[in-house]
Amino acid sequence: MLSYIVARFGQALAVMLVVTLIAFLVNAFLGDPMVAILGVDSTEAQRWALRRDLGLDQPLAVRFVTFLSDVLHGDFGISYRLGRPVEDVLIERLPATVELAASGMVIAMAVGMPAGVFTALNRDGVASHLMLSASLLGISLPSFFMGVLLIWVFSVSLGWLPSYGRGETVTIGWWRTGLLTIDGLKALVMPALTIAVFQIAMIMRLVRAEMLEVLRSDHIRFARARGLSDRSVYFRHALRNTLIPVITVIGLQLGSIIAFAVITESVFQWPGLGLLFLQSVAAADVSMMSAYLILIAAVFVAINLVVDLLYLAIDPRLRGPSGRERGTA
Amino acid sequence: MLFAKRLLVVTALVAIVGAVPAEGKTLRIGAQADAGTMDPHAQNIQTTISVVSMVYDALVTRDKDLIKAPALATGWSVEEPTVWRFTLRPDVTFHDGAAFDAEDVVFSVARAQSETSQFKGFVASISEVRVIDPLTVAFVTNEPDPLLVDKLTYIFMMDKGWAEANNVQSPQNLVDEKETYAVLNANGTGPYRLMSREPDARTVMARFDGYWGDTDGDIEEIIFNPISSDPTRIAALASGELDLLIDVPAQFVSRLEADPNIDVEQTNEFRTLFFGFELGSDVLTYGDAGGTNPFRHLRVRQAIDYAIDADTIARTVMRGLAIPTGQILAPGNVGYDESLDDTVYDPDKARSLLADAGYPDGFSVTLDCPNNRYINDEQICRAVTAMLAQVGIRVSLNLMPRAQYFPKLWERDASMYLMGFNSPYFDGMYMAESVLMTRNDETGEGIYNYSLYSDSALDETIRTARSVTDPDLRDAKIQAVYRMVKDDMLYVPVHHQVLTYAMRTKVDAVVRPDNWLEIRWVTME
Repeated sequence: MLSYIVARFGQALAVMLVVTLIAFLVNAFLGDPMVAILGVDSTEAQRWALRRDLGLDQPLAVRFVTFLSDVLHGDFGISYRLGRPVEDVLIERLPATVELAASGMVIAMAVGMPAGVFTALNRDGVASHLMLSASLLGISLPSFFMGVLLIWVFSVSLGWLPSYGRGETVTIGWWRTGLLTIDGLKALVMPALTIAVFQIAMIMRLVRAEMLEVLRSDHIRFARARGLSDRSVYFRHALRNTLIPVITVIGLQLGSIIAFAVITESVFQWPGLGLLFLQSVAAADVSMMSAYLILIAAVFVAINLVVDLLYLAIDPRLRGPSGRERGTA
Repeated sequence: MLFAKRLLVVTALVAIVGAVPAEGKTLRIGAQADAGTMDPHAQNIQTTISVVSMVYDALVTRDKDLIKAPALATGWSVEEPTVWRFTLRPDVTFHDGAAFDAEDVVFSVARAQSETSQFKGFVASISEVRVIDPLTVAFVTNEPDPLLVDKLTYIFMMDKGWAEANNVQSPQNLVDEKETYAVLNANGTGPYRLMSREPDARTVMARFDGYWGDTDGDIEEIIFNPISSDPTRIAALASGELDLLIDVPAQFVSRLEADPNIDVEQTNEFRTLFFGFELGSDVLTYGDAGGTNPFRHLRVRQAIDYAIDADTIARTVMRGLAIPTGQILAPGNVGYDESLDDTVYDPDKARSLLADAGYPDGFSVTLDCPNNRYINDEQICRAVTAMLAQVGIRVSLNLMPRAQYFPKLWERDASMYLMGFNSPYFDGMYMAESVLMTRNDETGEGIYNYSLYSDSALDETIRTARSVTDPDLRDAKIQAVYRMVKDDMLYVPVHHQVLTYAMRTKVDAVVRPDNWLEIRWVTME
């Protein structure tokens, strides 16, 4: 059991090291900070002086060690585009993305799970077929198109919701939230919906498939044989058993929403990490790009690690000999 | 410590945003990109200059005919060819209440000259700023500089005391990796005070009651909103969430024109797009022409000019938002000569010129082209690639983002390239000195001469023209420079871009050909 945990942590560390190397290579080769710092108006002598000041004339290995040590100290350098420390900017933008991802996921769960149960229980109903077709549309609709469509309906035609930005925000500690003002909530509706549409379709189909699977299993048959009501069978015995894989997938999806909210954030000018990344790429703001890569990798690695450890808690077979003994006792 | 500072800034922002009452007129401006900084000397980018100019003033400004006009200086005169005397406006105060005087001018010019300033080229000719009395200064230049006053329209005045108190005596040095106070804070003499700034989200400014000058409108508050997604920006204007858009992509212009609530204003931009060639080498670096460099032949350059159909590019690629041109200097600049502005498309003539030059079967070359610098730059290069193939020049297209493109040009590492250039002083001399003259990094001459062209006769013509102060003679001298460029077809011009602003009908804004949004000219019903 201990060796399992050590191995998982070891893997996580190895992944982070590789990502840091990739981030360093991005930093070193993908963009040239000269344009950002000097403007297009610079002389050969200035560029050489700057290269020397930035240490760009050092061997690659030396530069990587310096980079690694800075990253370990939480120093990601300065954003050439914004002229501010990278870690400050990341911390400022994080709440917007987390709130967007979380509210998108809440909407997706609130709609997707009941819909999944419903379509599993009414397999041949007209409503089920309609819902399944609609979910297919949700999966295939690009989020960019979805976002622009929502804007034209709810902002331009109806004038109900703001088309861009986060609205009015309130600051609690260092966390800037849009959830406590009407204006902020209105601004959240369309971006969260855009994120939710794909997730609704996915959760609904997943819940449906798991539910159908569980309904075929022995313990449901026994439950029915005991004469339990449909309601009790479906929700107490069937749905509960479907939730373990569903929650696992939702957890992993949350990570990918945070990482790939780029398109949604850019359509709605949502001032989160995704928009920040896109604008950093356009401006070749390499320090920001590499810090973003490391941060997103850390989110994924952390979520995967938690899931692995949760499996350990759930699945006795992973716990090694001692666990197996307990399991058979 | 850092955390506490951040907390303070954010709480202060919230307090300020919450405190601003919703009375009076608010102008909400939308743009593709945000201003990079509020530091007035840090970033020579037009969006940044436009936003900074709402808060800071220069000594000199321009009126609606783009003629130089008094701002923080009420008048100026030449005492000797290298000494200019400026009289400063009395009773001007900065937003924090400090008085504006000669010391601030000395300080601001020195700050703009510092190593980390992107405006140091604008003040390079100034050797000294002398205080005569608190409201009079003398500018001493290294050599006669007829464009000194034009250059000063870009040099914003800061309060020396404020800068010293906040430790921002020079623009931010990105190499130090330290954030400086002037990036997010500002204290100018301009018509609006900076109230709050969230980069990439919004910048809020409120009218400064103690402003020394007049504004055409009575706008109380300005909110500058960067919105990077084109359809969202257009939708926000259509829904009335924005009042003024200062960059409208070509494909949306006709839709906005059809909207009765929206007015579209256009003007021809000073920027000209043209193709440049490797001219300093005997052998083509990127391409194959049998060990020669075909671009050294005048007839080859002329052939390329005949082979490019600029009218078609303007009509299709640019959707009509470009003016085909026959020269690299745009109308409205001193030295512009209308008679040079003819464009002829004649592929047959191009083929025969190529044959005459010794390339009957053409040659192959790599065209370096940016894909995020100029309007539709990638599509322009694709179109030209196809047009040159028609006359036998096999172009392989090398597209890249501007962050890689400019370093390649700096290294003079291109055989054929697309370039856009505008003259910040409405005068052809800046381009003549920086693009046309023989490269000399000491003097700054030819810093954009990416072709490595060198012609002593052309250099001499430019040198004699540059210190001429008589306007008519100057115009004629600079015209002569651009006639030489056209006769030698050093660059093959394509078109001038057209700038488009769109606004709600209640708003009226002037589009300047240098894309400088002058906030004092914006009115709102």
